[in-house]
Amino acid sequence: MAHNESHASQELHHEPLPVKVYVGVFVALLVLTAVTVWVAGIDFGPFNMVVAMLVAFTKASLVVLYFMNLKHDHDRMNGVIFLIGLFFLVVFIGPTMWDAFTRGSLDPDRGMTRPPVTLQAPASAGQH
Amino acid sequence: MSTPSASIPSTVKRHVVGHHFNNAEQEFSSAKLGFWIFLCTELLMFGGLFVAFIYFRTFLAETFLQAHRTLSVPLGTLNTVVLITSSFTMAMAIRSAMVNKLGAMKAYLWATLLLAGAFMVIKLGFEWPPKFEHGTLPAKFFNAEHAIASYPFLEGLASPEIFYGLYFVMTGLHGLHIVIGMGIIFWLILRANKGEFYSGFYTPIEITGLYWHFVDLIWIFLFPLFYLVG
Repeated sequence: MAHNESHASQELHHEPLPVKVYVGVFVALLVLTAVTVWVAGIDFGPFNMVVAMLVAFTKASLVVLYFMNLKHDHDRMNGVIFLIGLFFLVVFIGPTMWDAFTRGSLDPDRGMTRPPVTLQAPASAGQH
Repeated sequence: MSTPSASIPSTVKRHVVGHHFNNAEQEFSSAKLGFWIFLCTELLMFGGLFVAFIYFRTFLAETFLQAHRTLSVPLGTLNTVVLITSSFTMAMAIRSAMVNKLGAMKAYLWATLLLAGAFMVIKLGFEWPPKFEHGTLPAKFFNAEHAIASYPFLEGLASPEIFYGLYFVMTGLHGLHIVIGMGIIFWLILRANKGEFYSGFYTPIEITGLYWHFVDLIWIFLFPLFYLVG
């Protein structure tokens, strides 16, 4: 008995998730892979990327929540850390997309949104 | 608990917590917390490449749309299935360790290693060689003459070499992660053979699992971006 007690603090005592959870997630990931290949053959015009990313985010959520166990993790801090990482990724990607997607609507000379009043540039401007 | 110590095989080496930890739980949580922080740095490293992809795709929309047709969807889909299966076997290896099914644990680790190998064989053996053959390569290695001869729709596109640059760097960095992961999984198998892992101690498998699922996660986004939508 004393032997077991000495092990108690030295060893982990974790309850695993049922096998059917892992099998279910695995099957769902395979089905979603088939779905994403299938919908790629349908033309949604500008929404092709949106549809593909919706499926990808669903798959990613399954992997993070069940395979990486964030849903049942005893240590909630791991999920917080991951969300902070995601937040910085959004800060990284968001303004870049804002710039990239709206650049065409900017006046290349004046940096203002078109169409403002059209000013005639001074004749000497081109020589600088 | 469903895993009483009575079910721990006598062949395992009983774990002793590092002297700088109070107990097994603290040791386990610390390792996981540290690894999640590392995964965030990985997330942002790949994030930079995804930003580059979004940026160039916006300005070279037609190039990306046409050039992505030169990638093989069947091979990409096959690799997706291989990688998802390897994620499943990795998760099952951890679960097997938690319930002291040590034979199954080793079998699942071997399966993960073999599937990772299959992924690299498909990538390096079947996907990349045709690209070298057709000259659809990054930067100055892009051979317009060969590329257009093989894929006439590439003619007249602006900077197709940028698409192939992103393709090779992003799938290449991902492939490097797979190769590193294979090394780590093999090391786990060696340690498992020494009887180090069981319900009371499976931290290295758990951490490798997190790494492996993260690599799967990156591929979940690479696959539709490059192969399906372009």
